[in-house]
Amino acid sequence: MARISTLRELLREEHGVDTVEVETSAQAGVAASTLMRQNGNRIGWVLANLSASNLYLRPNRAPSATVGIPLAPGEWRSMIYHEDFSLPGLEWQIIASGAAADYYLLELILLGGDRPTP
Amino acid sequence: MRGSLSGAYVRKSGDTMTGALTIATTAAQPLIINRSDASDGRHLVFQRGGITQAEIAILNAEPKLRIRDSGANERLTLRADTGLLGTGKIPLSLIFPMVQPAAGENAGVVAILAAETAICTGNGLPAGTAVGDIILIAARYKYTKGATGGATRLWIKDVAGAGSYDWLESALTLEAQKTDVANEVVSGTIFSIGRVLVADSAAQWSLRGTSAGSNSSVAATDAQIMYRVFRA
Repeated sequence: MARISTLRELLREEHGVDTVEVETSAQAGVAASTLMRQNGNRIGWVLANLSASNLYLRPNRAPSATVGIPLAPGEWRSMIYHEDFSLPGLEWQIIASGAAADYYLLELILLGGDRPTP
Repeated sequence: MRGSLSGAYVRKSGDTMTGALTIATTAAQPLIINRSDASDGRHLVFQRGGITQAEIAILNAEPKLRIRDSGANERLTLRADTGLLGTGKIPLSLIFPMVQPAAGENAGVVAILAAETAICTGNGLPAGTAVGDIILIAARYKYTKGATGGATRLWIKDVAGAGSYDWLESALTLEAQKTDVANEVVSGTIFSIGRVLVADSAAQWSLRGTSAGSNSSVAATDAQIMYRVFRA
């Protein structure tokens, strides 16, 4: 067996996948918007609330202050497929309690195409 | 899903919160400190560090309103194990008033705890009322003798009485009569000076210099009396 010397080689060896990271730095508003489109290749994500407003997340539909997953200022949430199953790949919508609420999103996307043979 | 909570949360024993704590509620007892062990302790401790003054403020309104009817509605309540020890409004003098235990309180507690020690200070000490007998523990006094001098004695004022000068001389002589020296400043400290029977609930006490045989006395200045009051 070939000696594994990189993280990417380890992912190929253990999971047979290659991934790419996608960063988004944007703002949410008081009207719901799409945070992430539905993506069957997204296996996980991390979202940080960099604003002074509360953020609310909800899959497929518009969240509100009474329906959704809240993120207070300075908080973060993450999802990964082996804990959250299909949730990371859904469309996620976002709303903020105040205008122009900064957030930072980091998505982990499976690379398509032929996968290297382990 | 994983995530973080913002701010410094106090969730378990040993956690320290660095921010201010505000409890905004209509609960009758917003903060309760329960101790279930048998040991004695100081249940609420205010540690000072880097500051020169600590204060516990009991306010009857929003401070910005500057309402100054202090003592009108603020109360301190002391409770013994099995009954009420005392409760009352907080007077401006900060001498906690004596209050007769409520009916039905444990008689044993009353018997054991029916005395309180306090200190009154001031010029002449014409203050303080008692509902029971007073035992004077110590006194500090200073006054300027009159032209005739005399012994320093404790005087009891019976407000309801009809004495010529209101002040009735007690049997307690604090200092033996000295050679008369006009305008001499006399000062001293007395310990364990005895018991005064007070029949009138409006009785007051004072430290005064007096000429022998006269109750036309000079009030002491910078005086203190430490006393215990026993309920009638």
